[in-house]
Amino acid sequence: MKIRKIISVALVFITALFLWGCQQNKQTADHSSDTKLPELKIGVKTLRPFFYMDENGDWDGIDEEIAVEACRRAGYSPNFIMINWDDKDQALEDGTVDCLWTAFIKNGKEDFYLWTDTYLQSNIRVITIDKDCDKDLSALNGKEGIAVQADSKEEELLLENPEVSKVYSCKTFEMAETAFVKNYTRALCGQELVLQQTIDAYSGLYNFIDGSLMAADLGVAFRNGDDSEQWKQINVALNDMKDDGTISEIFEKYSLDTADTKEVSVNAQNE
Amino acid sequence: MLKMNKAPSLRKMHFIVGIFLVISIFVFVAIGFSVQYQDLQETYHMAEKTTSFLKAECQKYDNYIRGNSARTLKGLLECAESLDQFISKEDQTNDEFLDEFIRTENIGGVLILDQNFSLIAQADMMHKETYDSWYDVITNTTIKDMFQNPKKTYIDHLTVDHAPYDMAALVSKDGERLILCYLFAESPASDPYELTLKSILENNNFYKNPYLAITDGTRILSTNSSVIEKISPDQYKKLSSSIEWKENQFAKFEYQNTTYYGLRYIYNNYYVYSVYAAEDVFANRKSFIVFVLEIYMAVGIIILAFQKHSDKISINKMEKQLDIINAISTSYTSIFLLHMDRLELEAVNPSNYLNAVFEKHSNAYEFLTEVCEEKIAKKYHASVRNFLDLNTLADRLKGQVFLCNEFQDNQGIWYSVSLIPQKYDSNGNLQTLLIATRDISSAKETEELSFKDRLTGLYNRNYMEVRSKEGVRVGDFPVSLIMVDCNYLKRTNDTLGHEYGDLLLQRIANAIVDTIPKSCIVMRVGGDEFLILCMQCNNQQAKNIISDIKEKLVERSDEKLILSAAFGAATVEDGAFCFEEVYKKADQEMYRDKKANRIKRE
Repeated sequence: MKIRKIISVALVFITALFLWGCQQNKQTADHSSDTKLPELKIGVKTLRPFFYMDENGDWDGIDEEIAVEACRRAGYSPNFIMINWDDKDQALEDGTVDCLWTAFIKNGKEDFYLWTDTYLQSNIRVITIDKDCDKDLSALNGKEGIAVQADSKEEELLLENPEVSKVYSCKTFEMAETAFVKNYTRALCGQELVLQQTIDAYSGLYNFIDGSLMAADLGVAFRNGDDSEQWKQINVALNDMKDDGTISEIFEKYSLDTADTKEVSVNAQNE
Repeated sequence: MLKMNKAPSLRKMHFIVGIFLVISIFVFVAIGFSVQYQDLQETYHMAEKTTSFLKAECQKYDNYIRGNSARTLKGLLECAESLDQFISKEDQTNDEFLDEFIRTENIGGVLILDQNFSLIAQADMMHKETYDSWYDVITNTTIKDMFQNPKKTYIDHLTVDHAPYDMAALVSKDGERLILCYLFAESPASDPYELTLKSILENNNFYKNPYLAITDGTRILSTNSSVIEKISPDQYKKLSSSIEWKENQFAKFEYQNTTYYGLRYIYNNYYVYSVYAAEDVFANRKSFIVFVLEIYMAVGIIILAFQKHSDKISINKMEKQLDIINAISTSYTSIFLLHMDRLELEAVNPSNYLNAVFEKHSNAYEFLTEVCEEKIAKKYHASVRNFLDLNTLADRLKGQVFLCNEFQDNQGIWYSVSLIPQKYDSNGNLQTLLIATRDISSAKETEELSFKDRLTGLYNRNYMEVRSKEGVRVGDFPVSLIMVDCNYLKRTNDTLGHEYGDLLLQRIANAIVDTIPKSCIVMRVGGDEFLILCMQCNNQQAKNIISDIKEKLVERSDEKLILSAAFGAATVEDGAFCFEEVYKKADQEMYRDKKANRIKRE
């Protein structure tokens, strides 16, 4: 009797051990989004920290999180489509995308698209090496000029600025940043949140010069004249997110404590 | 004869071996899975380190490429600025000059355009007419606005006529010309030590020799595997999208009938893959399997050897016990083994009848009840039941080698039944005992013959001696002993011969037997002496018996044979019964009677 008890206990133990050993092939949960919702095709480009792909192949960034939440509130399933930003207008016209959404500055383009209300303001600033950050723009020009992305609002501001005598325009922001980091230019101009990435990447080397060239309004651009339900719903969602502090929370998550960049309240927008 | 049944021992051994095998398999499989898991975890950690390393290398490469590119573009811009200065000073814009310039500066070509983007001069290292191709680029990019923004310089990578170019453009100081310098982007590397993705993969060793690949998400940029190198962009796209890449764990997938475990890491525009064949991941498992098998076999051999030794001891013990039983069974008609714990019988050597009963009832109570009622003579039922009382059996057998009882069956056949303790447990409690029966008819017959007088058929002196030792029970009192001495035996022998002497004795014996109560026992204790033992017979009753016998003797006398005897009786009313004393007293009374009869005759 006694030996039977021992054998029974041993068998139970061994079975438990066996089952534990088999557990390694457990399936992960299916986190696929609800595909029954109507789709919103969002044209995006890579621009840290607004929109980028993380190391696991997942989309991430301030605009990504805002877009996901806004779509959820508006009842849409977001489909992020990476486009050549030079061809963004064509993509919008031919329906490849329903809207354009990556730190897109409204200022000067108000008539080109159907915009949502501003959901975020982004200062356009200039960075330089730390020891020169008390200088003004004219002093930072140098032979080469100030590096900037071509055809951007930042470039437009520099070209209009009488203090700036030379503008080192590059096809992409990365090229401009590289030229700056390689010391081919003494300054780099861009959106504050984007420049912060450069400062963080080369910690202690660079800093902002005082002031900003402009507080740019960021919005989501829909096809002009397309007074669609999508535009309405997204606009309402973004305004709700501003009101209830969701956009602030997303902002803080990216640890951005630059003093001048802020979300816009509905009231301030309406002023 | 009982033969050794080795089946139970073998079955036990097989059972133990079977249990050991089952447990071993479970343990082995569990350990196998554990080792597999450990291998997977170890490889995963290495894969993480590999992809992290590759990510850092890609970052380094990216910076290197971008740095190279920025330097090239910067160089082209400086060429344009230099050319602008020279043109302003020397007013030289002809093609020959520009040919010289591009050769000196080692660039691909230069275009000088007016404010309408018409060609002023050009030069190309390959002497191609490139203006038309570049015109589309100029008018469709930001360059077209440069005359409106003369402080702008512009650098770019772009494709012209399906070929990649680096270019730099500026508006001349006087604002009248656009100077564009370009360089074909994919010039062969002149530096054999130039950093490439391939060199990163080839110049480093990685744990467990993974298949590494770096892609841009659409095509393979570099790999250390000839297999991966052959994958086309379509195949790559199809394969990558079919795999469920996971965060913080391997993705398992099949490719060309081989299982792989892969990790993917995305850095900027680079997709870094570390892929391991299952065979390499679980390399440790094989050696561990061999090791475990060896341990398993060694343990198994030890257990079997131990079990065999243990079995041998058990078998020896059993054989010894069976030898004893077999030895006993040769002397007995039937032998049963009674298991005291469950009161069940086991037939060792049953007779046909008992076997038949046993097949109906293996329970001891039921078996003994049926045998008692059907087989044993009624007068022995009580004694046999008491003898075989299972409730008191163990106590009665304490300290006894065996117990024995005798009975007759319904046919009058004598049997003895013996109870022989066989096995005790460690606490001294009886575990099994043998119930053995034997036909003792022959013995009884012999016993009978040794106790009978052949002439008269009565018990003889032998019997008297045995009977005298048995004593009497309390319920037998009063007990009388009557001595009878035959008269005229000698005279009869002398006058008529021994035949008549024998006849005389027989007649007197018959007369006594025919007269006395059935409970009395008559014995011929001498040549002409008889002894009558009467239970529950007082002195007066004894005298009455004597009187009756005397009458019977007279009755059966004839002219030839006169039946006559002297009688003496002694009675013990109660208390101690000493046979010799009572015999002596009866004998004395008999002599007194004989003397009195002689005097009378004279």
